[in-house]
Amino acid sequence: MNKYLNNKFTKFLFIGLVLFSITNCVSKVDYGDAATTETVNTDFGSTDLQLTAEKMVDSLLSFPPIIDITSKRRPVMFVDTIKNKTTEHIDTESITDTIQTKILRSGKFRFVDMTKVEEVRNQLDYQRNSGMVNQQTAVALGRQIGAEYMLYGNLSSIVKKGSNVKDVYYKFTMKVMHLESGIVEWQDEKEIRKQKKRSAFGL
Amino acid sequence: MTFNNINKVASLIIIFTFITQGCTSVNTAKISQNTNDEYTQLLRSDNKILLTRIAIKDVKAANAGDLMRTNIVLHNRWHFTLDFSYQVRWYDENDFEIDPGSHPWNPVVIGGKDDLTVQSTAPRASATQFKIYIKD
Repeated sequence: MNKYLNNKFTKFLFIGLVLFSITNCVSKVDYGDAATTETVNTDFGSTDLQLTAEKMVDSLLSFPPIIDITSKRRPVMFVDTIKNKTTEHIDTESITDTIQTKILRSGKFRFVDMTKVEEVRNQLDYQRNSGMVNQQTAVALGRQIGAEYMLYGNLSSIVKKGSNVKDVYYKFTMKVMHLESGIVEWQDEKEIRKQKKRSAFGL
Repeated sequence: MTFNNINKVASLIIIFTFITQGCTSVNTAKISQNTNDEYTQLLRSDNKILLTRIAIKDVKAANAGDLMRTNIVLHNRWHFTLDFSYQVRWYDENDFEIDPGSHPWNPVVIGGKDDLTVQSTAPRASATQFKIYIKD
């Protein structure tokens, strides 16, 4: 071993290899642009979520009957769950959260949050029955505003695989229903196609 | 590899570089053909080559209630298919961007010499102007 290390060139090569190995083992964390296109694999990703939410909100806010409904008042809406009919585990609540944020910030609709009903009930019960709260400041019961519209939808996918290709097609459908009449006031779809091709050299 | 072979490879690299640079300069010259300054101001990118290849052919704006809507026709000036992303950013009358960072990059493919129509609705009634950003 010593015989080889005495050789100057071999020494440099050895040190170089050691340094190369060390630097390759060091992990590095960087911040990136949350809005940038993400194409790690064909699974439903952040870009799909953002594009779907943007398309749906654009479509809803520019649909003539919805423009009429929201021209003089801000109707109250509630968001039902998005049915995930794909084979993937997808957090559909995250999609509806983004859509709800955009709609709310547009100033066209107001929302009631059905995911927090139990917490609200507990708080109102505490205010009324715990004996700890001044009753003059306690929130009055039975004064909440009922939702007039329901936002709901579903997400489905078709996956096909060939020897070198994987093709995934997503279809996101969303609807707004007028609760009193049962009429669907608005509906739209967003389609996404993603393909993964294996390179000829496996690179 | 012999010295002659290295020479051949080097010559090929120089020729290839010359050809690709030549292609770029041809497309760069085309930027002067876009005489519509108003449209040029709407299209933004850090990628100078992409800016020479994509142009705005037509812009229409209308109101959807009190929200502004836009219809933009992008044109691929190149002969080959282009794969890029675009983002429409909205600004208020004070030139403040509305909800910065919340607009996704839309990946699109546009054929050679082909057009692509993109539409966007302003996120709020305070939006009065927009710009379209493109990147590779």
